[in-house]
Amino acid sequence: MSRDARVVVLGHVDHGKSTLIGRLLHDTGSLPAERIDEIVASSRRRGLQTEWSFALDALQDERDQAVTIDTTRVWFRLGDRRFAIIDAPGHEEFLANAMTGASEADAAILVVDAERGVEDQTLRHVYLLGLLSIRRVIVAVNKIDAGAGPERVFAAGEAARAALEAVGVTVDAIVPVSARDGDNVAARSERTPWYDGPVLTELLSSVLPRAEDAERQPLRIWVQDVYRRGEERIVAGAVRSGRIAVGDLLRVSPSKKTARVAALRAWPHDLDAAGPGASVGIVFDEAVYVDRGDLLSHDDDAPVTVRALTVRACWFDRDPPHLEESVRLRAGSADVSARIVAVLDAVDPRTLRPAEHGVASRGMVYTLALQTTVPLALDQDERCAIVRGGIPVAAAHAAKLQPHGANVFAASHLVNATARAQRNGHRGLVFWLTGLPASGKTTIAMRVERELFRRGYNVYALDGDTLRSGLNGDLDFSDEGRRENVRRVAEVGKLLADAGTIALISLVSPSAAERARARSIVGVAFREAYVSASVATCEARDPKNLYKRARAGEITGFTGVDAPYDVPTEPHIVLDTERRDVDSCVAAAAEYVVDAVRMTGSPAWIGRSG
Amino acid sequence: MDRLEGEAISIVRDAYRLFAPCSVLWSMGKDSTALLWLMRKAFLGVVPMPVVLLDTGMELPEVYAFRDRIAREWNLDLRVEACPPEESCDQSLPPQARAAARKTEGLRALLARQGDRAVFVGIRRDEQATRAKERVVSPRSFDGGWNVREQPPEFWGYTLTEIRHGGHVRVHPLLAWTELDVWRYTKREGIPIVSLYLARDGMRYRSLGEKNITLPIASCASTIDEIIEELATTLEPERAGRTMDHETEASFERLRAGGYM
Repeated sequence: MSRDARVVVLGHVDHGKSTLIGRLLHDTGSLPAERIDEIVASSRRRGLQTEWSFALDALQDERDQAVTIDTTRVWFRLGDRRFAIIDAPGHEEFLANAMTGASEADAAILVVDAERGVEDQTLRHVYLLGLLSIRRVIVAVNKIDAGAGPERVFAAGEAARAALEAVGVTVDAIVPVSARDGDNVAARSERTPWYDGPVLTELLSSVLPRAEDAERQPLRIWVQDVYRRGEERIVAGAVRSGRIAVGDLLRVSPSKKTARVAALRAWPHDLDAAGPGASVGIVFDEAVYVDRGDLLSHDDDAPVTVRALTVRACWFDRDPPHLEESVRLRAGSADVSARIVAVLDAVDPRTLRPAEHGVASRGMVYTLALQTTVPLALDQDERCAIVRGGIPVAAAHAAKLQPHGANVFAASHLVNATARAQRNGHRGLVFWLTGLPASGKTTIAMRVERELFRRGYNVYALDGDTLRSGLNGDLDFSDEGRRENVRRVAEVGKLLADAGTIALISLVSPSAAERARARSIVGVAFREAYVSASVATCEARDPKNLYKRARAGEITGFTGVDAPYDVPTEPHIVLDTERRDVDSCVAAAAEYVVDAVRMTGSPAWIGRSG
Repeated sequence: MDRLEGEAISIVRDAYRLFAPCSVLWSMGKDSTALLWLMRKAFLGVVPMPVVLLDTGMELPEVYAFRDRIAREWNLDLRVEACPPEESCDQSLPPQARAAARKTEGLRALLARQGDRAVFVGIRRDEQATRAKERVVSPRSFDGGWNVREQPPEFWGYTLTEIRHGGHVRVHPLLAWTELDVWRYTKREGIPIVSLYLARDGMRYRSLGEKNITLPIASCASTIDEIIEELATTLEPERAGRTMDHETEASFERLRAGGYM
């Protein structure tokens, strides 16, 4: 017997998810006659034509407002197989409900309105699919009954495909449908002679439950509880991965104690061995202290134990993560107190770029550095939850684990960024000016420094050449030397910003990859300014005669002459020194910086009182 | 099947650890009986909490006989909670729903007396559209109410871990199961059932409720195998015989918002 599959239906609000599912139920003959009557009657009462979404939207409010609020689930059969279809709300406010539904899915149908194309929630849901590693996705371009031709459908489908591929999800198929009329749902449409691919039900019938090769992975059992039966202590837990057998030598993490499995208790019969999914009761051959939250493994293949780690967290709460905030971090059955020691990055899943100022936290993806109060055992990429008040507020992957007991400890400050910003009246920032040699970076930086200093800001201009004579005096101009130069400058900038200073950094930094690295070192306080001028203009300026020497062959690997410069594709600000005079560039830069360090609102990297 | 069983046992063990003291509701139906079976698996042969029957006095006689036999054989700590009369329930509910609401009142009285923090209930998403919206660990307010608009997220097995403002949680280990899953599991494990589920004279109960608000369906399925076969083709909903579900469009939603299972 083939196993049942679970398919989640996602997409922007009003693109027709519930209607499509209702239609699917109807066209596969899964709705009893009286249910169809109920739907027709319920639609008529509200003055609508038959609204198939009523097959799903069970709540009074959902029918009245014609919007899905919470995730739900229906079952239907195709041939000899059963499918659970999970309806997920498309409205931004209900993202956590969408996650609740999607987290159990084997595959997804992404519904896209042919006319409106990919919208905000489409992109958020696309990101969820990536986060959940759902690899099988069907794009249903809906509402072709409204007159959208092949070009429109193609454009909407390809936009969805591009968004999915950007988060590592490949598309199974793009199918044009009308949920309202049933085109290409269970039967081929006459409206789409230009489409000869499979219809939706044909695509669904090839969806299988996600293959789990958990058995071949290392043994992991999260301890749920310990039961006493007379003299015996029985350790209760479910096998997450791998295989356990009587006689195995297990290690308890984080305590690192080891003991052998004397018996595997189960009811009505004890077991000799067990694999993934099985709930077991382990009796050890000697007394070891074990409790809920411990992670069991084989002795020779143990997880990492950490006190500090970085997580990538998809945030569902209206209230963003705050620096220095205490949260609970859950990993398996472990539930520990953790402090957010840095907000390293905030990415908007709609653009896959750093979040703009003041953008709502719900749906953002934060990279957070956490310190736990007690050691925590887990694996790389462990699926975790960040919890406030007992409620999960973010789904997170453990990204970077810093082993407990390594020789590097980040000292923790007793003064935090909020306090510094409050005293200074502004936040710290790294304003990174990149551009060709002689494009005007340093000129602008020095003028902005003077201007902001005059206005009472803590500001410092760091110049690439100046640093080369001191901190970076040991570096040459080889690729490796340049990379290290950029890394050090970024680290210094980060320290200055942490200390509450506005660091104006002028550095050619020709490589986009190196600038991206600088951004990830600095985190959310990073702003990129592109100082733009053509090679010809810069060469005409050439205050240090460097272009001349490069043309003469005295200098090799000179950016703009015989080494490439990657023009920033999406800088925060462009300062065009070719078309505008220095004064106006300086004014624009100063205004941008002043705005970026302002204390109003409660941006993510400022504490809660900010 | 193994995956469903493993998940359910895991839910039971977690919730017991996090929320004790707790109780499990038993209606003697196939679902809550399967839930008791899963608890015996989770706790190695015993059900370590009170097994509560919300008694309206209106169950069928076969059901009461089944209760007494199983409680004895499985050594259950059975608590029979007599539900208050219909007159004490919300009079604005339609009549059949009002009869069902007696159980809500009975449960409320029991929780107030025992101080339970969690109640295990054998409901499933595929039974009824508002139950499809449920969470595995579902918070209830101090008066037992369900706020369907403000449910906590659940993903990767992470569920609610704290109870706030003097309420309790409902724990639903069978939420992801379907009617067919329950029958297959009952068959595989040899779990006893009330004989009323099996057809006699062309009729059987597909869903067991109080005799005043539940009707048998026409069926020839006289063994569990035949029930499984019947389910593979029927379009009839499971609770078709539950009259309270169909009185008005939102009557079941109102019942549940008020604390019904």
